[in-house]
Amino acid sequence: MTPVSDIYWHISGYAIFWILFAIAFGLFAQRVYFLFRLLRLGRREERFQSLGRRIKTMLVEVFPQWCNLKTVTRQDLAGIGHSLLFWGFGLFLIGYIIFIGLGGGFGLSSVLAGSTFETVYFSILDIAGLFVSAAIVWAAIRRYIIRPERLEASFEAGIILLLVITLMVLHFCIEGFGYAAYHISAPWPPIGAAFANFLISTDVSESTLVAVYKGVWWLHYAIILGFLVYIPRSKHLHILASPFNVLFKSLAPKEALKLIDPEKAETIGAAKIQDFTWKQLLDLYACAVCGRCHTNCPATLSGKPLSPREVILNLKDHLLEVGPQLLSAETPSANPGTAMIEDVITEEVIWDCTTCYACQEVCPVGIEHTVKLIDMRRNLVEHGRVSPSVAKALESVRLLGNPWEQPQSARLDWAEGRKVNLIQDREEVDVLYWVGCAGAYDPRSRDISLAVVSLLERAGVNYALLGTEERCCGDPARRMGEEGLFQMLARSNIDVLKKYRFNRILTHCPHCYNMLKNEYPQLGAQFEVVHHSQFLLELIHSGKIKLQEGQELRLTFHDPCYLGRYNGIYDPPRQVLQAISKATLIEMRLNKTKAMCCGAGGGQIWIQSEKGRRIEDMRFEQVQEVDAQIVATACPYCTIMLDAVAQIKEPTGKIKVMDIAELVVRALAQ
Amino acid sequence: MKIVVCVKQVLDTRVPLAVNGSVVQKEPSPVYIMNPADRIALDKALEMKASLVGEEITVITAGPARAEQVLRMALAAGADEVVHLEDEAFEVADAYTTALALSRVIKELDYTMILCGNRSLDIGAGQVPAFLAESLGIPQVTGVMELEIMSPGRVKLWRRLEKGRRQAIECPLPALYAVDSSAGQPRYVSEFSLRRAAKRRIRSLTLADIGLTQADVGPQASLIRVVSLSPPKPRPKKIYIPDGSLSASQRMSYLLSGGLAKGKESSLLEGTADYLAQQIIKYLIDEGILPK
Repeated sequence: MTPVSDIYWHISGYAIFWILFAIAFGLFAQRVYFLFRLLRLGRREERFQSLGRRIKTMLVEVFPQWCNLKTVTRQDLAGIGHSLLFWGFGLFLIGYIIFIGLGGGFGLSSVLAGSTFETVYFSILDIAGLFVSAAIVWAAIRRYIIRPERLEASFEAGIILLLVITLMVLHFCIEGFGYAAYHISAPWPPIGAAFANFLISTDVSESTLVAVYKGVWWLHYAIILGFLVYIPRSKHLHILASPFNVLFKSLAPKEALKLIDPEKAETIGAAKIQDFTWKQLLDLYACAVCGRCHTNCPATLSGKPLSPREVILNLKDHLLEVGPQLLSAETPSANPGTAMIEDVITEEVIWDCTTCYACQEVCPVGIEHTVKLIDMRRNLVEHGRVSPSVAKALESVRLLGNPWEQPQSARLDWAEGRKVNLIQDREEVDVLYWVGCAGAYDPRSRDISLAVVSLLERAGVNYALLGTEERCCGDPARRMGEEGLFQMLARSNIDVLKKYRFNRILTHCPHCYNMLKNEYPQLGAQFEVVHHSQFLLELIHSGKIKLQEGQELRLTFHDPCYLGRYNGIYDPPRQVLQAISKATLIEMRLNKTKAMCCGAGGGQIWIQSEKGRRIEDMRFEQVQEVDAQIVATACPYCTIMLDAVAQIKEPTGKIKVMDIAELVVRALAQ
Repeated sequence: MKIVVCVKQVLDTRVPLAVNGSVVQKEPSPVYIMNPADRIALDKALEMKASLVGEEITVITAGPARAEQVLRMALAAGADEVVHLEDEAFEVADAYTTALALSRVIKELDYTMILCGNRSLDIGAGQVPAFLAESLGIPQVTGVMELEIMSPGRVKLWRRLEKGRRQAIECPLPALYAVDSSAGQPRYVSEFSLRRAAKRRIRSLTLADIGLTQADVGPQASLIRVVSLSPPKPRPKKIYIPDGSLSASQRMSYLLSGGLAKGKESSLLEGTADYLAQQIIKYLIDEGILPK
């Protein structure tokens, strides 16, 4: 028997129940529908393929809360707290549906009241309620007293915490007053029963108990309905949006940008909020303002204006602000008053990104931050709104086939004086060694290419180079937003590669690796590509390269973003280093998935943001912290950046920066 | 207002060039670009178009078939119309004949302003602007760093002088302004825009269309004959050794003065352009460089 079956001032409790429900649900649905319509302003995108696999991912991420548990570190245990909240509140939600909805609104309380099911379920809820309350209290202490960097002590967050703990307290009150008022005595549910016993021991009259019970019951109901109305109007929207955001996560290799067909695209890249796809807009709803992207972004950490969290929240605010006017506009491409680029997101912020993927790696709800920034870059490039250093690098790639302003004919100069195999002279080879632009033109990186070639020869690998037919793989162009230039380069490279016969492409550059393997297929190529860390490991394991006993060496490894986070290759380079005897591998605190970028990727080495500290300086300081003699790298950009800092901070050579190939050469048996 | 921009296709000097006698030997696959100063001139025209209503930009080049590349770049950057005065002879034509040919094309256009680069990256004579303006009978301002349209027909320009100084000049239209390559950074033109420009129409003219023959622009008609080309050699600087009998401070002041060789005088003339021109001609005649 619930208070719903009573009459209040001649009005049936059922009427009140259902009218309140209708109002709340109406407001909820109206808001959700509005948000849904805003999504439809966005461009189309295919995210429905492999539905079975998608559903499975969503179920695994959401219900066992893997989305949050994977973010748990020794320093940040919040993922556990959230999981407890999620499971606990999930049980309550089911309880509300059964006991308030069916029991109350549908009048089935007579079936449920006093049943074993009710006792058992309420006992479970009591325990859950304790966990939830503890989690809320802990959350409040963290957010408002401890104040970690990534959490904002906001008003909205406070309201949500307050609402949840109030619901917990009211649940116990309903139990306590209810059992006491109706003389229900039993040892279970434990807290409810204990509270009831306490109330009975006081001399409160039965009529008071009944009145309080009914009042608390309706208050509880009202707050639940209030919460329902509030969810889509606050950051708690993430409850509704994030499971779908995970469902529609990209199945493509990480960050493989969308191929633009200039004939079909109305706008190149994104200039207005409607230029984003519906999925990119859904990202904005899914954000729970956890701040993890903010505290893992190298640009933010080095004091630059870019913060991934701010990008997402500013875009969300912008969408909500201009959405109504866009919905009522005549054409879908109407220009909202505020300019997305420059008013909402400044050009400076757009160019600060190194595309290191740290934000996306750590985001529990699958938001794709960098893709939005690159889409905006695409639009800026189309309008010529790039800095002189970017223009120079892109023009160099277009005219000379590399960003280093060196002539194409000089692509083999690095091998001068050395005999190297050229594919033009061969029928067929096993391995085509793709040298890349840095490896061909940058003075420091040339040493890496020389090291790789000497290892290939030592191991008797049937390899060859493309020589002067090689052109930039297109990574800097694509990441800086010059999609047309990337397509031109990719097509040209694919045509050249198709002329020759080889089994695999070997490269020492993770950016070239990522391009050739994951993005060239968009233009019809299918090559088997191997990174030199994997290849060297093969050579070592098969005995084709023998290493000798070396001297004691303290090494650390700097994970390249495009090898690690983008392609999941963390172990092969470490195994190569461990094969160098007497080398002790020390891990930096920010390693593997948490490794900090060297600052060169995403075209940043040419964009050269002015503000804040230099990212490479910060990373090198992390190297100095672990007291290593050598920091091993597996990417020419990382080598260039860290070596440049080492020359300044460790001019005596106390810490050397060396590519794994160079280290293997050093450790070769005679 | 119609702005005519004259551009030239030149070799990209980032690709090494060899010199053989009086011919520049190009790589198997030479890289060509729009002359940087011309690029800036075009950008200036585009800036004016962006801020004023009703501007039309026509870009012209006189060059062989491959010069089409720079016209495509101009279209991609935002030019309204492009004209290709095409003939192989323009590969070796000198400034005078090139300007003559260009003037014939431009005379037929209803232009208000002509912009071009101050000098080209390859020859660098810097003469075409002067010859062109003279052929068309319009005033010219060279070394332009900035320009501003004060009112229809009135333009204010800032010329580049040595040591960072600027000269402000007002010059009425129609006129020709030669823009310095350091007057700005070239605005980036995307590959997609170039692709779209590949489909647009180019107005093609032959020498016959403007009443000229190859003989009129070929080597025979040139006022300049290239005798030889050689790679740049470092110029040794003569060090002045001061007289040992002088005091230390006197020797220091001679060294610091740059070691002017004794016996040479220099005089600095001042006056109007006409007066100075006459004095220079008189000097050249006196020194036997110009015939009397």
